[in-house]
Amino acid sequence: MLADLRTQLNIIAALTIRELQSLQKSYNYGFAWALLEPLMFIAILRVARSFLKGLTPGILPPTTFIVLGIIPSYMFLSGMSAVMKAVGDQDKLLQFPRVTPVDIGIASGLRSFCIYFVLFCVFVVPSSIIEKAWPPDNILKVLFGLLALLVLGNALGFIFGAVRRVFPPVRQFVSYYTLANRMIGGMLFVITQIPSTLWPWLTWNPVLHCSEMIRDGWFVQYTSPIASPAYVLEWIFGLLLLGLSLERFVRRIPYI
Amino acid sequence: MTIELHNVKKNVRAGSVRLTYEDLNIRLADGANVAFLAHVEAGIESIINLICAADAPDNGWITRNHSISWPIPASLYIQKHLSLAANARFLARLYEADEKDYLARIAETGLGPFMDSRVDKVSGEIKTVFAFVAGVSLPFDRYIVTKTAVGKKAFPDLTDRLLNDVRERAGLLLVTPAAKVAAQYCDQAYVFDQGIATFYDDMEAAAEHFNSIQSKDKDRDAGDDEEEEDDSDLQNMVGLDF
Repeated sequence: MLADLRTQLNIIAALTIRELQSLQKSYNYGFAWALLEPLMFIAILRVARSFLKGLTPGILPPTTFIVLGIIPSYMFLSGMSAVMKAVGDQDKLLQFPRVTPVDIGIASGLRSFCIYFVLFCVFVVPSSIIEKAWPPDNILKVLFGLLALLVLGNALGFIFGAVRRVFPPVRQFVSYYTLANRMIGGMLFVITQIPSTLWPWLTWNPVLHCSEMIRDGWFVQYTSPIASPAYVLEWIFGLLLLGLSLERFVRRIPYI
Repeated sequence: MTIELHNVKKNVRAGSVRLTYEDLNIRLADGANVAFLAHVEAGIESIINLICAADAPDNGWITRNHSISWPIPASLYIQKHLSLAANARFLARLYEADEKDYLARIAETGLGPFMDSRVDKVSGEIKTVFAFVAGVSLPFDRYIVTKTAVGKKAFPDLTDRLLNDVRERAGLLLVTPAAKVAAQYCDQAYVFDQGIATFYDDMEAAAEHFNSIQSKDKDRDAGDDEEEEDDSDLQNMVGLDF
């Protein structure tokens, strides 16, 4: 049992390293491009700083506030779409008898997490030092929020990937979901900026809980009134169970 | 220690190939050297996918209780922007082999001078030889080989030597449209035709059956007078480099 588990982890590690190496192919000049792209994005944010000040709560430093919202949100969405693609398409690595779609899905999700975790460290640490929001108030809460987003994204990716095997147009729905989640997932706001009468319409979303946890954990000045780790764990358990079950169910269905 | 297909049904839909295998029963016994003799329309790629667990049957079940390679020398896993050594390290990690030993074994076959070269900087022949050697250098109970004429210019005896080594220490599953090549390495054969797999433990009988299918095909396609003399074009014929 333990040997099997170790083998499984080794397979996932090998696939994740391969996924990370394949980044070098996408970025002709190596990993530097992976950092340059978000740098340009941050530069645009700096230009829009005055606009951002209007969006962020007055007590919180604007750049750190925005970066803490954007990078985890992208981490979640990118992980979801990477896993969906890995599970929904017939990957060439499936020719290896010991590799399953689940391994490829997890490796794709981990690759995405690694990229965005590095970006998170690279951008959040300097911006919070400059804006005097360093050190984080509760790093464990921040890490929990990030890891929860990783697993939530992967679980949703398994669900959408499995559905995509039998119903490819689901991609269109996923693009709507992605757009909606950017609006309501707490990327650009905290819940205290929203009138409390609207909270019941927003707080069902586990992604919002994660965003709230991350900002709550980072800023001393902010305490989220809604962030609930237990609620997020319930969603993770339910979505993972559904996603892995669906993936197992559609394995016998030929790829379209 | 076998791989068995029990009453398997599989609809093959690969390009122009449209056929259905029904009640397919195949048994690959431990250590047996078996050939799959198949021509282009036999949809053999789908059967190999089933054996490799890359695809599931529409019906029936498959039992595998020994380790099996991927179709060698399939090379789609090779990343062109990395060196041969980096690609080999990926396989070593995937199959939990000792990286140093594994790389040394590959280098010993004559690929040593190329190991640190990027794949897109070496010739196609070296790449194929690497894919072949990397596959047979890992320990499996059964090796699926889809091409035997590999690197004949640079390494004339290499594949022959490695295949004989594989035959001695494990089982070989050779997928080929060349009955002569099959007889050279295998003792048993399945002949695939029109959704039926026929088993032979006599290679001459298998060759006779397979040649009769090819003759029928030639008669049918009167305009097509090309004949495959060896299995060097197998990858293109059955599209196994998936």
